[in-house]
Order: sequence, then structure tokens, then C-alpha cells
Amino acid sequence: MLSDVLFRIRALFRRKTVEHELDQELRFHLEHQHRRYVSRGLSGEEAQREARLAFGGLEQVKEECRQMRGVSFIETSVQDIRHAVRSWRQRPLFASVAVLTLALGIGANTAIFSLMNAVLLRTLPVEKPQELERIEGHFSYPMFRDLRQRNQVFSGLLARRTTPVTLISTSRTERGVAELVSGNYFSILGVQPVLGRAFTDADDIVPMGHPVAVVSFHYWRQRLSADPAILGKTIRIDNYPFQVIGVAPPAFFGVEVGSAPDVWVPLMMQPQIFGRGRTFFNDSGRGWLDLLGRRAPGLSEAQAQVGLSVTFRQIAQEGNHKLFRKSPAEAAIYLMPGGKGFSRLREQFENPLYLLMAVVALVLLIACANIANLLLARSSARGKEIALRLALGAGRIRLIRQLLTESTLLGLLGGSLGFLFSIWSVRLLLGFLPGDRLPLVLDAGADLRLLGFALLISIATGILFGLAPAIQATRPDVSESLKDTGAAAGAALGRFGLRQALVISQVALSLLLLVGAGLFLRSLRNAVAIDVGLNTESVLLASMNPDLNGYTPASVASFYRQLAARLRELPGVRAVALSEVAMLSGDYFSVGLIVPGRPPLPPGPDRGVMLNQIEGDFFQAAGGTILRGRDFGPQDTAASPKAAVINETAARHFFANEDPLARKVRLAGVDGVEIVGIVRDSKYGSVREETPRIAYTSFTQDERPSGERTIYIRTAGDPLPLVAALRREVQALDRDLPLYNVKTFAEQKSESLVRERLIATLSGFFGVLALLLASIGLYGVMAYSVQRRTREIGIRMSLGAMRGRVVWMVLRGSLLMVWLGIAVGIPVSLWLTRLVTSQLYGVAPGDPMTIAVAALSLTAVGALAGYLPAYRASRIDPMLALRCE
Amino acid sequence: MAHDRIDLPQGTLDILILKAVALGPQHGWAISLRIQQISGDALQIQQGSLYPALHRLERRGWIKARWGPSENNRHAKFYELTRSGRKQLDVESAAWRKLAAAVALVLDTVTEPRQ
Repeated sequence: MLSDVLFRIRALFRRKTVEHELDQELRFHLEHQHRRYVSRGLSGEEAQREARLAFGGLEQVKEECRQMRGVSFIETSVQDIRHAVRSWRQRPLFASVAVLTLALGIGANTAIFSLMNAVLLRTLPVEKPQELERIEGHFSYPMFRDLRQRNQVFSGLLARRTTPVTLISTSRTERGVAELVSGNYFSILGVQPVLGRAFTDADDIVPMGHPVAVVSFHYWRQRLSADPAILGKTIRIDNYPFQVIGVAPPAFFGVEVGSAPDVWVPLMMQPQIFGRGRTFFNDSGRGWLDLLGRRAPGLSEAQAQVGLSVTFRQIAQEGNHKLFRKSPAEAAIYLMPGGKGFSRLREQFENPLYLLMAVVALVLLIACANIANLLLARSSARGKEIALRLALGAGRIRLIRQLLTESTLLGLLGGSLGFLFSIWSVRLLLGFLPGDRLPLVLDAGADLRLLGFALLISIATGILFGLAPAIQATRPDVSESLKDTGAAAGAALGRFGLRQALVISQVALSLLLLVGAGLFLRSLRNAVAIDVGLNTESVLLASMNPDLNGYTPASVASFYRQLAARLRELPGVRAVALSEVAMLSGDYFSVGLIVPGRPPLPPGPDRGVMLNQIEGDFFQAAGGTILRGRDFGPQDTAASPKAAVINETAARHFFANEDPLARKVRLAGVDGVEIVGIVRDSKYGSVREETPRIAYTSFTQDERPSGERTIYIRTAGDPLPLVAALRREVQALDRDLPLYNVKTFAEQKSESLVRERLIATLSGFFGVLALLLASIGLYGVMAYSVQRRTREIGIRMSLGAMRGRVVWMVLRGSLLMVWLGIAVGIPVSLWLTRLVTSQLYGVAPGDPMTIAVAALSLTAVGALAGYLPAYRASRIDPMLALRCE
Repeated sequence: MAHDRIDLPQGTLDILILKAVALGPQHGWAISLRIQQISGDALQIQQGSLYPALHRLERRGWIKARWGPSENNRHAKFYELTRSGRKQLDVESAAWRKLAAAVALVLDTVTEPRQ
């Protein structure tokens, strides 16, 4: 045993000595055998031949001896790697092109995968995340209480809700994110604070009775100067004092991917920091909580689902809860795996990410085909060397292994570089994701899974592009290659070999990517061209929430009145308005509308209307035309009859052919609201939505209006220079009021298309990359074929072929491959693009225009890639060409 | 004459090598000569195949190698039997004899003529 180990170690580290000894030993044998034959009377040469014959293949014996010595795998790999590096040094251009191509391909894959990893795959940094189940939908507090008390399936059920807050530490006032959590939150998740203690159920009993907070590690470090004596000190959340009782561990970001709370607060503090002072603890009609449970030990997901459904139905049948839109019999509750937590980001970007992953995988395939082609060209150049080694008895498997080692090494080099690329480009990609209402905090950093992915893909890539050339190169028609290669060149003329097949598939894949990119770009263009019914040019938006700083409804109203007056005085300002919900921001506020005297609509979504409360010259500032009736005015006060303006779609939906004007309706639970105006249709939350029904009411008539408002400032020119003035005016009124979402209305609109823009930009980028790679591949094959056909072309020209004919001959070869690729690519594109129909807007998956444009660009690029070698071919001097052999 | 030679059964090369070096340290060429001589040229061994076998046996610790001067004062690699190699030779020879005897017995029985 020990001898074995020592033997191997000696063989490994004293490779040169061992190799030398082996050589000497075998030479000794051959010499003796030689001498023996000579002594029998053979001539020197004959004796040498006989001795060789009696011995067998020398290289083979050496190789077998190395294998017997047991370290051959590592040893030969080291040898192969040295060999590879040596050959790259001789041809640095080949090596750098290959590594760079791979780095692009693998980098793109790693980058998209790291997003996928962060958004879709990573589990929460909590204890046993696989036991967690999230309940689909939002729940009221009474429902949470009942489910928590009566369910038999969870060892614990927690509720949470994030909300933006104003955080005031020693000197600084800023917007942050708070997560309201039930008292069992930290214990169910199994998260231990690094300092102090976490909440317990005792911290969550009395409404407004537990002003305590756990702060995030990040907040503690950044804003509380990592104060070790922070426990017991006070921070102000929405201008209300909370005592810090703990600091969460650094890796813990809560239970929502893409968002990271700065502070955790007991659910019982809800009236203070969420919902404008109203208390939701007894309101069974308001769903505002996310529920997450830990399955009881030994219970399967299916059992938990069944058990919870039974409990839920019992609760529903007792009739103490308002169930939204459903009768008790229809009431259903669904469990989803909760180990990855909640994420709006995930719902929004799951499909785009899969799509992009497929796109980059195709790009990598094209890159692989390119390098396979380069290797093929190189191995034909190295054909003689390989044939010689085969003839000398080197095993084919051994040679294939050597070539594969080389390609895997290329893969790993490209992969490492690509990994660096990806780290850099992920930052760029993250810039695409929206995150301004609640700041986006996404950990897309490297972890073991990402490293594993990069490693795996690098090795797989190396084998993928290396295998075919290696097999081809070591094909055992030794004698053919040993002859001078010139004669064989003619064969490459019309025949479609592996290289041609590779280029054709590259073209086909590029067509697919280009068609995809074209479709997404057109979708984006169509979406951008959608008439949102609002005038988004030259408008500055900003949001603020004085509620959070302890304003009363009266002081909120006066604050905004003063602010609007000051802003109207600024030069270049045309109109100033306020709204409760920022238009096109993705936020919605839906309420019910009932028209007395009309046949009642069924309860549920049919009664819904999007509500927005406004003030000032909203329709001038945001854009919109009152078609009939009037806008709100000074006559609409808290004391006057309640008024509402609705859009055309709402008018048609609720009133059919009747005239809505002057009709009184029940809106958001308030009776006797008079319809005073009808405004032209517009979008509400996003650009791509169906035109919604909208009702507007006025802040001036609301006794308890929301403090959180978005201000619209319409300007004569570019609105951005106004930002500084806006900040100044706000600070003049309240130094501690943070502004957020400061941007132009046009930016807001374009952010509403973030998904479309992300897909279109990236698929466009990768489409161009694919086109580039394919044209390099095409160029490589054509240049190589021209080089090998130098003699043939020379003969043709000496026989009188015109230059133009030679150009066309080469160009035709190139175009033929492109067209074959397109012919293959079109049906594939027709078939595959159907899968992305849901991501398209205003364009059909098989759109002939898009396919035609893609095919034309490929043809153009193909012609260009073919023209350079063709031109070179036409410049061949017949005499030189004939003499050079 | 070539027709009279038999190919070496699997695994027998090892035992022949062990036997060949049992009499004293030998270099590879001498071992190949000796096996040929002892077997009376009846066994067909490609000379080259000897060396992988030698290296394998060395790795198993049944023989050990040492460099020294050859008969005509050349630097040569000599192999000699180790203690565990001797044990292995005994075990294998015994097994081989047993097998040979058994095979012979079977063959003799079957070739007896029948009525």
C-alpha cells in the first residue's frame, strides 16, 4: 500500500526522471535485441527492423507502462495542458479569438443565470426554508388571526407587510422600508439577531402598544454608526419613537426577494405606520397581509393544503368574514412553496428570464460552432502531425483526449474571463429592474450555485465544441493525410462537410435570434406608441408623504396648497396638480361603483373602478380632456355635495346608453356622489393595460385625505432643471420631508415598459452578437476554403476565368450556406416564436416582415463575410498559385 | 514453427516474470530471453508487452527495481523479487498447478474411448 503511494508520488513529481528511465530501459532492450540479430548474421538495418517488430509499437508500450505506473491521468493531463499552451503560444490569434468568443458566450449565460439565481432559485436565508409555505393572496387581520388559531397544519403561521416609511435617526431624515410582522416572525423563520433580541408574541398583543423595532444590519451599520450600545435607544419611524431592541443578522433581508426592510416593527403598530391612522385589526374586508407558514413536522405539502382548505372553508361558512368576490362554497385557499419567499419581481420577471436564458444559450451554441470551426481548420493544419502520431502507434482515444483537454482548457479560460464579464454586466442588468417605490435590493452576487454553473458550462462547452473536431481530426485514414495535403484540397470544393454544416446551423440559430429580437423590438415600439391618453411630455413628477412626519389632515391640506401656490410662481411652470395614486406607476386603487336605478352588476370585478383623488389643474398638468360636464373647481369643498369625474369607458360600462351627467352614484362606499364630468379615456397604472374604468374625486372634498401624493408640474420646456427649485420649495415648507420618485412623466411611462424594454434590448444585443459570430464563422470557412483552393483557382484563372467569375464562385458558396441556414431557420423560428406570444404586443409570432428583415440582414452580412475571401481569391496570381505547390 | 506457438493465457505473464526473477536480479531483456528459453520457444510473447507487466508488478510491490551495471557494463534496470513477491509466486504456482492438473484430468477422462 505504502509502496504504491510512494511509487505514484515519485511518478508524479519526478516525471522527467521517470520518463527518462523508461526511455533508457526500453532502449537498452532494443539494443540488445539488435545486437542479437546482428550476431545471427542480419545486416544492421534488417536487425533494427526485426528488433522493432519483435518488440511491438514503442510509443504504445511506453504509454501502457505509464498507465501501469498509475498516475497517467494527471500526468498526461499536465502533459496535454503544456502541449496546448505551447501550441497557443505559436498561434496567439487563434487562442485569443477563441477565448474571447467563449468569454462572451459564457459571460452572457452566467450573467443571466445569476439574475435567475437571485430572482428565481435562491432560497431565503432562514432555517429549513423547504418547510415554508406561502399562502396565495392577501389576507385581512381577522382572517390571519383565525387561520393562525385554528389551522392544524402549521407549526407556526406568520403575517407581514412592507411599507415605505420615513426614518429619522440622529440627524438624518430619509425614506426607508419597514416590515410590519407578527410577533412569531423571527421565531418561525429561525432568525437570531446579532445584537439584542427578536420579537416574541408578547411584543404583538395590544394595538399601538409595542413601539419597539428590530433594525437591519445594514441600517445599523450605515445609519446608526454600528453603535454597540444601540439597544434601548430610540429611532423615529414616521416621526413616532420606537425603541431599538435588536439588530438582525447581515444576510437576512426579510422574506421578500428584491426588497430589504430597514426596520421590523410589530404588526400591532400598523395604525402608526401603515394605512393613514386607520386600524385594520377588525376590518375583515381589507386584505393587506402576506401569510407564510412553517409546515408541522411530518406533514406533506398536499396534506397541508387539504388540512388548510378544510379550516378555511369552515371559517368562511361561519360568515364572520367578508370574502372578496366569492361565496363561502367557492372559497379556496392555495399553498405555494414558500422557501423562496415572496416576490413581485419573480412574478414579473420569471418568463422574461427563462426567455433570456434560452437566448443566451443559443448565443453560446453559436459561439461553440465558431470555435469548433476554428479548431477544425487548425486540426486540418495539424493533420500531418496527428497522422504521424497515429502511425507511430499513439492511441486514437489518447489523441482525442489530448484534443479535448485542449478544448476544455479553452472552455475554462473563456469561462473565467466570462465570469468576470458577468459580474460586471449583472450590475448593468440590475439597472434595468424597476425599484423606486420600494428600493430594489437584490443579491445577485456569486454563490456556489453560480460558480458551479459557470464551471459546468465552461467544461460542457469545451467538450461540445471540441468533440467533433477531435473525432474528425483523428479519423484513421492515416495514409490519406500523410500525403501532401494539396491534392486533397479539391475535395473541399462542392462538398458539404462538418464545417459547412456548422456554419449553416449558426446561420439558422442567428436567424432565430434575429427574428426573436425583431419581434421584441417591434413589440416595444408598438407599446411605446400606445396612446396612454395622458400627455407625458414636459411634466415633472415627485412624490412625498407628510403623513409620515406627523401632519394632521388639515395641515396636510394646507401644506400642499402652499406648495402648489409656490410652484405656480416659478418661471416656466404651466400647471401644477396632485394625485393620490401616481399615474402609470404600476399602483392601483380599485373601489366599487354602484348606480342606483340601473340593473345591478354582479358583485365582484364588474363593479370595480380605478379611483384616483386629485387636486389642482390635474387634466392640464397630466394631460386629459374633459369631454362633457366640468372639472373640479373651488366650488367643490368638504361641505358641498360630493362630485366625481369618470372616463368614457366607465361611463359606457356603468351607464350604457344613459347620460351619466348629474347622476348620483355610490362610490367607494359613499352614497350620493354626483357625476359632474366625463374625461377622455386614458391608462391608469401601466402602458400595456386594457383601458380601465377610472373615477376621479377631489382631495378638497375629503375630510381625511391621504398625505401621500404625487405632484405633477407641467413646464414650458425640459422639466428636469426644475428639480432643484422643487426641492428648495419643499424644504422651505418642511425641512424634514423627503421627496421620492422624482422623475419626468415620460420616464415614468417608459419605466412602465421595463419588461418589454429589458427583453427587447437584450435580445437585440444578443441578436447582433449572434450575427457577428455567425459572420466570423462564415468568413473563417470561406477564407479557409479559398486558401486551400488557391491552386484550383489559379488553374481556372490561367485557363481564362474572369475575375468576376471567381468572385462570384466564392461568393456563391458563401451565400449558399447562408440561404440553406435561412431555409432551416425559418420553420424553426415560426415554430419557436409561438412560445413567446404572451411577451409580444401588436405583432404576430410569425410576422413575415420581421422574418424577411432578419433573412435580409443575414444575407447582407453573409455576402460581406464572403466578399473578402472572394476578393482575395480573384487577386490570386495564377503563376504563383501553380508554382507554390 | 510459428504454428506450434501458443498465445499466452491471460494473467500468466505475471507468474512467468516472477519465476524468471526468482533466481536473481535480472534486467528486462534478460527476463524476456529467459522466459523464451525456459518455455522452449513455445510461448508467443510480444517483447514489448513485458514492460507494462514489469511496471505493474513493481507498483504492486512484488518486485523492486534497481539501476546497476549490466554484463557489458551498461547502465541497466534490474528487477528482483521482494518477500511479498515470493509469497505471491508460491500462491500463484500452487493455484496454477492445481488448475493445470484439474484441466488435464478432465481432458484425459473425456478422451477415453467409448463403446
